[in-house]
Amino acid sequence: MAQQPKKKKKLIGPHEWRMVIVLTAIAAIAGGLLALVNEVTKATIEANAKSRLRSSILIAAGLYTAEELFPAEGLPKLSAAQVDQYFKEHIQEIKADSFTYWKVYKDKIGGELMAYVIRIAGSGFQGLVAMQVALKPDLSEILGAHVVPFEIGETPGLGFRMTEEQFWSQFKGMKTEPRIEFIKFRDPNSPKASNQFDAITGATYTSTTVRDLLNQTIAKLRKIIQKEQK
Amino acid sequence: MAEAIQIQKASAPAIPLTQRLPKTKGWKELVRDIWDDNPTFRMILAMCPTMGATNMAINGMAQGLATLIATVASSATVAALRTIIPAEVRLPAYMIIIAFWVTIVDIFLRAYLPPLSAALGPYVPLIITNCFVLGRAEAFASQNSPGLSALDALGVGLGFTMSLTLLGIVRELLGFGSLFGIQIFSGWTPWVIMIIPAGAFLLVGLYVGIVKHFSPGGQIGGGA
Repeated sequence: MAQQPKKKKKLIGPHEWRMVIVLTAIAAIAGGLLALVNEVTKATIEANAKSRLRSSILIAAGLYTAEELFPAEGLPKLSAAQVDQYFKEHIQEIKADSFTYWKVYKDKIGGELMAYVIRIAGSGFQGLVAMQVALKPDLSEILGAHVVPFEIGETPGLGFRMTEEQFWSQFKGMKTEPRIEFIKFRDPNSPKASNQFDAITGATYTSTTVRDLLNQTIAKLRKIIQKEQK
Repeated sequence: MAEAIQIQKASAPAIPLTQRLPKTKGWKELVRDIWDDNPTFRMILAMCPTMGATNMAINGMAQGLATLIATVASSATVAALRTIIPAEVRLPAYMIIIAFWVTIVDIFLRAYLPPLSAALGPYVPLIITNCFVLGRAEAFASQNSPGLSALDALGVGLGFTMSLTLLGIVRELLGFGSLFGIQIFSGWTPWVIMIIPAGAFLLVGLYVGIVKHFSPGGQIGGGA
């Protein structure tokens, strides 16, 4: 019996094409819709972040209190538009080598310089550690600091406690020279106390990150300003 | 004969909704998913967000609700497309649909509820990998109508939300001395173990035992 020539099976038949088309269509539609939603909400998300950062800078510089701009209940004292207006009149944002800092002026931009503000940001134990810090124009002393509670990614109850006023308010009046350190149970009478902040109990990693970021960022700013003045 | 039909027609709406509802298929699915097949305490599914996002009651509840919305939307979409999707590529197709809905939920949280979005961190995008979301799509939505699938997903979502909120309530009370952010015990010494995921492990075990004790039927199943 003569063997019948085997019919070669097509590698890609109509069924396979259907798989490709359906999967591609689902992915394309999902991708397209996501792009649309992203486009619609992008401005809101960015505006939220920008407004939070600007409010935080105002608090660090001591112009407003945390209760006024990040109230636990109700609306903040300044609207996003008002914060922007304040920035237009008093605060200059300067970008230098992928580093951003802010100059806060007393009456108007270009007038009497009140403070420099920097944002320290880096990875902590499990998420973002970030803080806005205002410095005297000669960078010798910290005028104030503030942490935006929403953006911190540290462990709730431990590292996340850096968002508490008790933590960030202690930086006010701290001397930046020779370097900032942290300690457990800070003794205000110790000669080194003006360089020290109290660590967060159970979150040494977070405290270490804050200390290192602070020293590094202040050194960076110092270099930039020295370059500028030359 | 005509008379009988008329009587039937007239008497049908006379049964109150409270009696008719428990007999519908959708209702049975809903109750089964919330209690008998509770994803956390019965099926032991989705342990990652259960450990990670329940150290405060509000976080547990928000995580549960975000998962609920994503599950209902995914199940309904999968059910609507069930006849179009070829069997060989159903899993990648389900994954795309689930990822799509979870990303939508995540974007909306980030845009309109930034404090909650920050508190939940990576656990909202991680809903994509929740096994019961894919599980409902594969086991139920691929064989049922969109409406029934949405109900089924709603049941699982509600069961999950309830479990996570219950865990969050106990962990927040013992770990922070507060409930939904309101201080209940003043001068409370925090139980650090309740704040970290180990506390959730212990509590889940306790809850599983309690649920098993009061309703011994059904089986405790396992997944990641």
